[in-house]
Amino acid sequence: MSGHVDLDALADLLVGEGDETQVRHLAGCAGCSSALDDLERAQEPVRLALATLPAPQVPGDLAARLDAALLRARDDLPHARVDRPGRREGRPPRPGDASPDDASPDDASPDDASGHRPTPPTVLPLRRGGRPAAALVAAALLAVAAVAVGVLAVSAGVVALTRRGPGDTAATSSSALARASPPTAAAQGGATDSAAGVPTSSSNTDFADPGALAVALPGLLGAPRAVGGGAPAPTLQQQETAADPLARLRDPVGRAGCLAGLSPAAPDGIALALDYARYAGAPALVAVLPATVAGQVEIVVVGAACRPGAPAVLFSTRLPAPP
Amino acid sequence: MIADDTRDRALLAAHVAGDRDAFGTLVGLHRDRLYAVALRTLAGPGSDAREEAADAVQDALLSAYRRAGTYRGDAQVSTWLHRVVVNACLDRVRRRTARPTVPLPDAEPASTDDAYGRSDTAVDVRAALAALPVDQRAALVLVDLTGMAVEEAAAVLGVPVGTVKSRCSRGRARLAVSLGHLRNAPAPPPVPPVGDTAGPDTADPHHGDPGGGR
Repeated sequence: MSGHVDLDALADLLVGEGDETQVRHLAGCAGCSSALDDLERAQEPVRLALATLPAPQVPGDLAARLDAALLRARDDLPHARVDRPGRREGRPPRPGDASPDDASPDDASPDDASGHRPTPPTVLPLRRGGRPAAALVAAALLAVAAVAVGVLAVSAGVVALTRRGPGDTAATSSSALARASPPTAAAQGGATDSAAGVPTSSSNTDFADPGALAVALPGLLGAPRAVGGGAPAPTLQQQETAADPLARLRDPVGRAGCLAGLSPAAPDGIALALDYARYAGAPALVAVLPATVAGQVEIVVVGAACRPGAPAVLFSTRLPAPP
Repeated sequence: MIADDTRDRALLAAHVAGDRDAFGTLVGLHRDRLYAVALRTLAGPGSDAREEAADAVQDALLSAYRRAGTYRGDAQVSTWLHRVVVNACLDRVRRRTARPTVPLPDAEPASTDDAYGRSDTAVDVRAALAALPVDQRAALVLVDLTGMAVEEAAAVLGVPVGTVKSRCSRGRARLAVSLGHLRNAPAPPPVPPVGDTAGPDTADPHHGDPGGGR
């Protein structure tokens, strides 16, 4: 080695990673030895400066953005298609593939349409007897079939409402996004409280069959609009009782917080239509949201626990908007 | 912490078993920290990496969502998530093409050096950190900013512990010069251009040559 040690070499010597040549040079060079001492003294203030660097401000929409992305991933890739070990067979390892736990996005396996059950990893289970993957596959296949059914039903102009209550009117094949004349709230069988004039119904229908959502879509969009004004909304604490698990989601603020970001086209959580219904027996809110794809809408079914940061999405799908 | 990892493993297992909300819950627990790591790793000289960091975190977490079944439990779930995000960020940095950069106007007041000419205001530290070679920057982000143990950082980066120590030490040395804590120091080797994957810092120090090719 010629000359003195450079900064990188001094830094390596400081943590015991230097080589023998540099160590021997240091023993005989006062200048380099002094430089090493200076470097050692400089470590602590640098570490302190880094440790006390303020945490960056996280974008306000990052949470909603990630939730929306995961929601789309659920629609596009049912759980039964989660990659399992062995699917990368035949693909040669890349330089830098450190361990089987490496999950670089560039190493993603191509999608497998077989939908077979993944091998469970060696981790602690949350609970025994969880939802079987076979049922999820069946639900996913139903959703795909429901899209086809929904398209056929809409194109044929056939609309079936599953709403209960007085004053029900069957929606026609007119534009789902047309402004319907608002009836009085009494003409509607359920609670309508939105000040935004969104078509709102309280069908109490159990939409466990995804096909029913597709069929009901035109009716949801053609429901009477909620009448704004009137008594101010009670506080969430006043509303939320055991008798009405969906009370939080009847409040416009609570509902918007729940729905915000579930569709990128509706960052503020304002829906095209709402139905207070049920899903697989549990109280649920069905929300029709604008989609980023023209001519389509997002249908999201959320549970009573839905709130900002915890969407509690029970089901979601994208359907063509009725003409 | 062991309790946190137990919780994370349970959530990941629930996700693989079909729980539709488990992965979202897991993401919520780690999101902010992962974003901070992504932002500090992606920040380069004169670049605003906030949007890119959000993109990187989103892409990485979607990849983790799909590949959750491949997690074997050898490392903590947090380590696994950090590895996915850091790999995504390093790939992005290395794909960047060299282009002229215009320094962004500082949102904070100009730095004021102390009597010794040292400056540790946040903007100066961030700028100095952004100027480091990406491998040194990534190591320091994990160890000194995130507080990760060197062993865990090595698992995230997929390199030996000695390499992490070397990268951190070299990075601190360069920062000490940039921030004025080290005067009359020997000149550091030149920083490789952005996107250069063959920089002197990328090699394993245990196989480096005496000339400093680490």
